[in-house]
Amino acid sequence: MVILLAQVGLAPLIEVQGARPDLLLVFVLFVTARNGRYAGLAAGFLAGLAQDIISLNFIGVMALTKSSVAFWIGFWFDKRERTVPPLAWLVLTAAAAAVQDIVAALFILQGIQVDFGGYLIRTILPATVYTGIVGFIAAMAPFGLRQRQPRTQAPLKPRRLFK
Amino acid sequence: MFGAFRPYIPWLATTALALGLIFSNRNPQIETLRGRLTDLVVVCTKPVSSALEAPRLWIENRRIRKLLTEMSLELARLGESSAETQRLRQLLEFSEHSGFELIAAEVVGMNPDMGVRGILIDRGRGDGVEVNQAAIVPEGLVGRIYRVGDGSAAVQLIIDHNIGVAGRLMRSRENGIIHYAGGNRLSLDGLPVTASIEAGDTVVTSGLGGIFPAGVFIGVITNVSPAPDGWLLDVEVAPGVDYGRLEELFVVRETNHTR
Repeated sequence: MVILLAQVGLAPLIEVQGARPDLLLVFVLFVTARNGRYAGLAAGFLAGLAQDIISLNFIGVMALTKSSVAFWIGFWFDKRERTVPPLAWLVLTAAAAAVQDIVAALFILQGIQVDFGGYLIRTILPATVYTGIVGFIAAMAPFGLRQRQPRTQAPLKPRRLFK
Repeated sequence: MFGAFRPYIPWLATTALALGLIFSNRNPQIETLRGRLTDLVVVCTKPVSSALEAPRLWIENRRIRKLLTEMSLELARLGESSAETQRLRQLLEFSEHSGFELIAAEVVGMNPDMGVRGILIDRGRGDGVEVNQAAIVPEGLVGRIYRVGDGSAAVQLIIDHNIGVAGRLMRSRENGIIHYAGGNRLSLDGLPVTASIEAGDTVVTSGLGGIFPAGVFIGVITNVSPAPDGWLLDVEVAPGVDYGRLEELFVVRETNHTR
């Protein structure tokens, strides 16, 4: 909820040339890194749904993209034995944002006469870079968001549910 | 049953749910729910966004207030400049066409002496100003110089009880003496009841007396009535000059006028 409020209230204030960072995505990725892909899936779905509700897009798009991105990146997190360095967070967050926004655009731009290449360069790319930078900064933060314990054994409750 | 697909079931489920939501967007129930949730989110986020916005608004408000003040000052300055330009243009035109040799002067003070209603101007002996020269403006006669310093002079206004101006009716050429009659009124004295005079007649200086050049506008007759003695008229004159708003005037240096 706090991140949602930050996304609504803070992101417009730190907008640069129309590009806003996706704080919810960064949050979802950190949840995934700390708690595994199922937690990330749930967090992504709920955060995306909340984002859909308050945005003008149709409901379900961001829920789909955020949950999917979190889930698939969660596979990579779950296999890692060590914490992810901040620089890798930059790439990871940016890549996640790019995938999320491109998939979302495929839905959102349906029926609209928009140059997809132009949209990609003018809208998605700046937001992707910005989100990546925010992810990097968050990973550098001293409050230990990225300090996930190395996974040396089977993770957490969700995975156990399916064993 | 699902074997290798089992880890993906949650994702498939959420994806299906999300797709279901996407494709049911035209559903009125979803729209209603969406509207209510949006209202709720707005109610929750408004204080936060307002709080976050407050410092920026405060700074913006200060900047705009400062800008507004600067603009109002600029506007006042431009207005003043425009009025001054108009006034100077009028004066210049008057100066060029009056036929008198004039010294332009600025009014720098009011009522220099007790008992004499007058003004101070920023021109004096060094500029050619002498006692008993006339002071005029485009709107008419102002008064006479009654004291001169090196760089300033005092002008006795014609709305002073101690001054008399030889006046003449432009239409009928009747002569009289202009005196101050209190308030913002003058009187034209010494006209017999037989004089040809009526309200609206223009009064100018006659040039008699040697102080004021002839033909300078003084005012307009507003009221004519017989005096109590039965021989003369009480004639009321509205002066053409607003003596409370004098800013510049001309001192008539040489009487190259016709008397």
